[in-house]
Amino acid sequence: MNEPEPLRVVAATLRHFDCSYSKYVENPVELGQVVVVREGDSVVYGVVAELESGPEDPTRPLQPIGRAEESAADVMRAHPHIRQLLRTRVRVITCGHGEDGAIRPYLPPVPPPLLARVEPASEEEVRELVAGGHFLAQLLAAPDCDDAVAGAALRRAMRAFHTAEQAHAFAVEAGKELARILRAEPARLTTILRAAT
Amino acid sequence: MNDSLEIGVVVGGSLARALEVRLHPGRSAALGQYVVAPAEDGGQIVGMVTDILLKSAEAGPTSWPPVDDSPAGRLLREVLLDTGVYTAVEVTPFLELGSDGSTARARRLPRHFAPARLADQATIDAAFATEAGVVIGSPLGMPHVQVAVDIERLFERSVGIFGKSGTGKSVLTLLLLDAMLEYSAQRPTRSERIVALVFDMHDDYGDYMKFAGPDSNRRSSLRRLHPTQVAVYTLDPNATGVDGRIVIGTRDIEIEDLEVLRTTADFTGPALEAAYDLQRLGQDWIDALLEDDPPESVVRRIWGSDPPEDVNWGRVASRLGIHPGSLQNLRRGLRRFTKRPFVQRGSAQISGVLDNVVDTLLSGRSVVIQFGRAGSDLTSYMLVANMLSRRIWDRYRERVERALRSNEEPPNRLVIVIEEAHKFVDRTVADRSIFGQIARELRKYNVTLLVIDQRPSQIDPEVLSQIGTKVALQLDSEADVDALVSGVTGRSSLRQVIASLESQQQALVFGHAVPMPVVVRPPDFAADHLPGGMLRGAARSRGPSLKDALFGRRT
Repeated sequence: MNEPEPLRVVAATLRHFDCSYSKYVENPVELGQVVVVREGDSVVYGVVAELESGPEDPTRPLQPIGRAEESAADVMRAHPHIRQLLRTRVRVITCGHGEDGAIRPYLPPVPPPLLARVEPASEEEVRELVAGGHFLAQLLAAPDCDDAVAGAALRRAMRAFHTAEQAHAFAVEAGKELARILRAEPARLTTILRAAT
Repeated sequence: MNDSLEIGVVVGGSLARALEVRLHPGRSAALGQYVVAPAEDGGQIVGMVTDILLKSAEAGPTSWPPVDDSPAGRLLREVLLDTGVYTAVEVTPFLELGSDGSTARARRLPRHFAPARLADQATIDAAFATEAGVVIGSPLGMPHVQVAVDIERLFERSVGIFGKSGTGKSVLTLLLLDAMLEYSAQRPTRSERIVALVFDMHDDYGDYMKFAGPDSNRRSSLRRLHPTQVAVYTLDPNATGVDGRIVIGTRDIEIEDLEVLRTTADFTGPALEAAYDLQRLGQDWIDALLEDDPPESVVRRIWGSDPPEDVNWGRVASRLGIHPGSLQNLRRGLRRFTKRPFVQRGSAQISGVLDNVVDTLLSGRSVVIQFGRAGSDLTSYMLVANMLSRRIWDRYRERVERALRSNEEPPNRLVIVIEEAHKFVDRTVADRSIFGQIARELRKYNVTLLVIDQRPSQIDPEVLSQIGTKVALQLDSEADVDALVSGVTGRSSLRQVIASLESQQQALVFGHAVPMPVVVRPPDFAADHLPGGMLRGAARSRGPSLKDALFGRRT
């Protein structure tokens, strides 16, 4: 069984960090997923806000090679070197960090280290990070977070709960927090909750 | 008290109007419930829920309400409840409980975000309870809490029980009187006792009260509950098992007695004026007027030994300077009510009956005057109640004045119970009615009223304002509600509370005997009700000390 392609931090600020796979991958982390960086002074948690795949060198656009009947997988198998010339990049919005054995839904003291590995957070970690919906304040404050990202983050977070009742209780609790944050923007609240359900 | 339910936090308000308490998610509060919140520098502010508000934090949720039934719509509704939209209650602050157990009218407010709790028994006890408390019920929505009022204070001034027909006025009156009699029986000295003189229109306060219960159609009434403390008199000539009969002689009737019958017996003003002139005909002037033609004695008195040939009542009227129509009106009215079986011509020795009644009252026993079939006749009821009350009050007044002069023990206190009170003290007769006078004199002569009425708006406002403690059951007319709360602090809130009362088993009590208004569900009148069952001591034993319960034990 192949090791999953590592995702590493390639640029970082306190509020977000950019990550990249060393090549193009078809099954990267997903929109709204909670990821974690365990290296450095503190464990940093974030929500995937953007995914992008394209050429390693943006000045040299990818050409549409391959015969008409070939699928993308066929082309990749026929030209394995292409994958190496492509990159899958991910932008993560920082939503929390670990401190004294607990996960706090606030910014970490320092950004995650460059080239640190980024991996999906465990369900237990997700539940702890999203409890009370307080992580949404960090998420919605980021310029890169639109309603689709917030909706996806809620939807993904609900999956971390074992039962439908627990997931619903979380959705209501987080929704109330969202309602407080977006008290002057009821239309956004509606859009996000629709995206979450 | 820390165990009591926290329902929300104070988010605004004013002392003049009300506090606004935002309810916690999942909490609710009902109109009339008591709420307590800590004052700024110690103590507790106690208030009553006088309004419930549905509010929105921003305009958005109410401008675009989530009405669709999709999963997202349902989630949105759940999310917005208690965030974008929420429930708040208005709590009118009435009382401040000091940390030393003292009580005073609320002059401070809790601070923002102070926790608001439903008041528990300890808080209610601290606000209301006394050694001689009579339980008047449980605050609405607080079935495990009982409100007791000081029985001394309750009957210190007049009491009014107001409500439309079928709301439970009679049952509540009986329960209060029962508690009063039991309390009175335990007083060591005569002047400490309180007795009742009940004008019992529908024969409810003697042996049995008519009662629409699942188990029985009657309940034991005052004499069955207190056999040695209650005497029953009746107007019914065929009644048995009573302590005396009331018979009124025409010679006993004074014009002041007729004045209050102005509306019920259709006496006109000029007819009553004429009555004063006709008194000149002698002590049997009423008997004379009942004759078809003027009797010899009248003729002689008016014309002496030289009367005209065809003497009739018209000539008598002319001779006395009375309008013939007024004389006819007076004669018609007198004829009608002298046909009553308890009225007889001449003297009926009413003073002897009065002596008996007064002696009974002064000995510490209460008197119930039953009307039998005459109870359905308002004129009979008013005539008898007014006649007896006026004379009994005169005697009480003499006794009190004598006691003051000679430093004797004053007579015991007397509570006169009348039904259909607005007929006695409406605007036209209040200044002439003995009941108006008793209400105005307050407790100066140890006599107060317990009035039972459906139409408080018909009562003279001055008299109504003298009624110390008011019990409002459901009322139909806005005018009645307005009349009751007129001049009362927080009247707009109370108005709302009265308007929301249900047709039975809900009452608002406010005024002299209670430190703050209270909406209660009065106690049930059980088939096995014991004498004085509503008295506090008999009702239940005391819990922990009030201070400990309110402020915790000192460590």
